[in-house]
Amino acid sequence: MSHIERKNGVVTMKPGIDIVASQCANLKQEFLDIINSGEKKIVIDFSGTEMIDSSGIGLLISIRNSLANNGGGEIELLNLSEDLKQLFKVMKLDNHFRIS
Amino acid sequence: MEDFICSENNRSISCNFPSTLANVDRAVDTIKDFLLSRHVSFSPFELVFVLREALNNAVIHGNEKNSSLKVACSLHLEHDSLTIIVTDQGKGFDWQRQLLKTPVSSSTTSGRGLNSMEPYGFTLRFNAAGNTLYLTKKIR
Repeated sequence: MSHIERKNGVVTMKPGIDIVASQCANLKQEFLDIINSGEKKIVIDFSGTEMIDSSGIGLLISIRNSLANNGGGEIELLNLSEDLKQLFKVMKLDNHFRIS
Repeated sequence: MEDFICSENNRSISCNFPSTLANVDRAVDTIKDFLLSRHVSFSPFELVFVLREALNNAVIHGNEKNSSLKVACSLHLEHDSLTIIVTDQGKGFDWQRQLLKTPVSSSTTSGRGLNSMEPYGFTLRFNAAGNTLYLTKKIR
């Protein structure tokens, strides 16, 4: 279960685990619960997340798509390791997410 | 978990397990520990990422998450390279066509795994059926 904090219209979600195929079903439900509650800005805190695989990246893209289909929104990725930042570059997705 | 089997010697490790994503996690951890114990010069992140993609593909696409089907995985250390071999019990696929596909768009949620291995320095080869993947990487 991710740590979720709401403050000033921003939801910060910290999974604290690797975002990989075995975890995607549970994480997807947590994201959908956030989106369905009307939140428009989601920050994902990667502290405690060492790895993401292509299933996890697919999950982030599906959440971004869901926000766009629900009137717009924004995902920010926070506290990524250098390896994870490089992975988003390799996947050519570094310009499609706000990474800080 | 039942039927998860790994064996190793000084220069190689082999794992065989039912097709579940939990077993992918376990196999990745086991093989990562093997490599760390052998003091191999490599990036753990790159190796773990590529190995995980290969095993995910075998479980999800190859064996279609049928836990009665097995995945076999081995890693072999040579003097200056390592080789990973992943075999599933599915019917295989047209891997040449897949590798020639245009990269997926930024809004597409799948189809990135196979094409993400070469940028990390791995050479890909399949058997004719497309249910055994050979990955090779220089390590020195």
